[in-house]
Amino acid sequence: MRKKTSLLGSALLATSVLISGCGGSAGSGDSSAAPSGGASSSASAAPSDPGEKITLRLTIWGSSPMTIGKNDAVIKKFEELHPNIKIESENYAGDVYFDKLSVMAASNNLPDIIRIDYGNIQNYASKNLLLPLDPFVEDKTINLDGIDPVHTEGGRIDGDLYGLNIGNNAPVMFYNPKMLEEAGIAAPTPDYTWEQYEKDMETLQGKGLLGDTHMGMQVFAVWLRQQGAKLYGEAGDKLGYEDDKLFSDFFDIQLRWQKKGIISPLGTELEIKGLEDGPFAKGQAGFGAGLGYWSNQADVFVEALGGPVGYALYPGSGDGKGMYIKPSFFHSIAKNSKHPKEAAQFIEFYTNSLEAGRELNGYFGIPYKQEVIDGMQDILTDTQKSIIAYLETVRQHSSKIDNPEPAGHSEIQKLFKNVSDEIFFEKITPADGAAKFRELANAVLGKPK
Amino acid sequence: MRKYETLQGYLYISPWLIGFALFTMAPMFVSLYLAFTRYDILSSPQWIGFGNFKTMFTADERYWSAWKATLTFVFVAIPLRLAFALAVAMLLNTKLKLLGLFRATFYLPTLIGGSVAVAIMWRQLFGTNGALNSVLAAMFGVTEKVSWITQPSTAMWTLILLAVWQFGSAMLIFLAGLKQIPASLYEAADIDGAGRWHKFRKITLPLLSPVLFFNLIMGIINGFKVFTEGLIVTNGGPFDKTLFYVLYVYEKSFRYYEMGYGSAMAWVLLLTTAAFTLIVFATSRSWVFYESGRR
Repeated sequence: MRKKTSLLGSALLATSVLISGCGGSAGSGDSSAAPSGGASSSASAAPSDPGEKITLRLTIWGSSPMTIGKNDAVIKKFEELHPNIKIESENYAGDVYFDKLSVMAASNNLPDIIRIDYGNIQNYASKNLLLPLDPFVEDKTINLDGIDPVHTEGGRIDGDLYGLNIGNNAPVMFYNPKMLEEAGIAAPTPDYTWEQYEKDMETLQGKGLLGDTHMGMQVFAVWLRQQGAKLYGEAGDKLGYEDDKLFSDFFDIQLRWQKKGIISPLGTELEIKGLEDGPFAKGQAGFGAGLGYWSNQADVFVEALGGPVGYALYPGSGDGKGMYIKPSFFHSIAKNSKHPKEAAQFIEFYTNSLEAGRELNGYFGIPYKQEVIDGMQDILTDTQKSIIAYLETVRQHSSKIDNPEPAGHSEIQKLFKNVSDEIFFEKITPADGAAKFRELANAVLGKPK
Repeated sequence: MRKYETLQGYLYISPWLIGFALFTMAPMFVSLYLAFTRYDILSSPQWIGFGNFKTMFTADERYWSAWKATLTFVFVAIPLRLAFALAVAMLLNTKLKLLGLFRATFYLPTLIGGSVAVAIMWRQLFGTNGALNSVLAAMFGVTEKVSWITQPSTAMWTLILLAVWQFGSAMLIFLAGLKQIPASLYEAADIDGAGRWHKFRKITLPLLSPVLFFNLIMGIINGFKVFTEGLIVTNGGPFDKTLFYVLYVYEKSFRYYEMGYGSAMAWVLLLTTAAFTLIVFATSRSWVFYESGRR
């Protein structure tokens, strides 16, 4: 009898411990920050009536307070107009963002509204994870009337529109106008050449400053375009340039700059984590091109430098072959979102409404709906006006953007960085580096998908 | 009647058992399956047999960089850490007044060690504008600011230093082991005129060998698993000099969407770690002495 009672007792004890233990994590040290479980919307998949409470999830890229703040402001305005819809946004910065998205995709847990970039949208669309937006365009939930297709076509893959461009962007070489003026350097014009760039950096060095940083893959892609080649081939299954001299020239030039000491030391650059950490942002360099900045990041630098920044095309862009305009991010809807219509409403509001435009003030890219631009004239800061002017310059000196990067692009970026570091630490020559990069990149691109 | 007791026992540990089965065993078997597939997370896995292993051993340069970095770490950091731990344990094995305080202080790094916060701090310390350079400038007048964590020749050493700094846990275990050695042995050795080194080699080491054995096994296993430091402090760089094996698994699986390949890599790591552990076990017969005289 005693044995039987104590058996029952231990069973009860064990069960209660089991249930109480269920809530916590296994303590293995895994730290997934955002409690993304909470949001998922209600069971009904049918179009909702105004009375029903709906929660939508949104993921955004970025972690700076400005990014989160501007986003939240737009969400608040939307929630005011649609009291039955609540939006929960999650934010992650850097590479982690795409790591997190892929985990969500694997667990069938993608957010209703996904902020996704040009490089990844093709991958996600081809894996059937995104909902085509065309039905919403047709019934005017997303109203594209009067919008130049060039702004929206970036999101069209195999005939279907998978994402709405949230704003335009372009690669940019920032420069420090005060620093250049004090050094007696003329501000760069669209015809700025690489030779003049080198001369100007030497002038800066003479004043005890730096010219710029080493050039990353983003500049390399423009460099290739300037020479009539591309980074990736049409089908995305091999590199888009045949002549390895294009690669080794790019690095020969930089090795020369490195020897002269007109660009920052590689060791310092490798420690850079955020936009505010680079030599340009810290006021140590006159130009900011190498690290691959985008026009919509101007606000960060204006704040870091405490004054207006200058915007210039990359050197060698005079003939318009190199530069391009790019959609900064797309908003896509997850295939298995339970409330696609509400998600589409939010997407439309974010990009095409004047209220959202006024809150964002071009932070995520310049809006392209004319009514929005017109309605924002009074609040456009000098920075925004400068960016719009810059984008106009780019439009006049640019050619069509390359196809979206193929699926192996992030790995190839890493390989490029590795080879590039090896060259700059002088472990291999640029010519050897060119061959090595070609071999490694083609291996990645050639893999069956 | 004994059946009831066994059942009771199982019931008591059932919460842990169920957790283990669901969250450790099951994923391990899934990962074994995935190792033979191509799985990009976003669509379903495709069976490719030994394809991943073939690529790993014949067509992946970075794979060998990963092994090089990891083995360097295991064969340098672990012995250094143990040597340090033993040295400090022997120093502390006296009747110091503040012994407890010293023990706690040396153990502290281990407590906070494996964390992301410490790794970030370490990156700060050894960066171009970090504390180490400031100290060098202030105390030795060294003006050149080197970035210890991004220079190819020193990047790995900053990580080794981070591992050695966490010697506290091994030290505590050594200390406990040292205290178990009967003082009478040392006294007898003194009478016979044995020197310090002789006493160490003939008394301390043999009687400490079970503890050494334990610390070595644990050290090796943990050494192969090193990840956080590689990710946060150097991100595998420069150009893969500190690309630890698990860091490469992470990159391949989550950044480049090759979860099948990552799983295959993980299983190779498991087998390799097991092999090393077996080797240490096999050789232990000759150098580990238990007081009872037999294993």
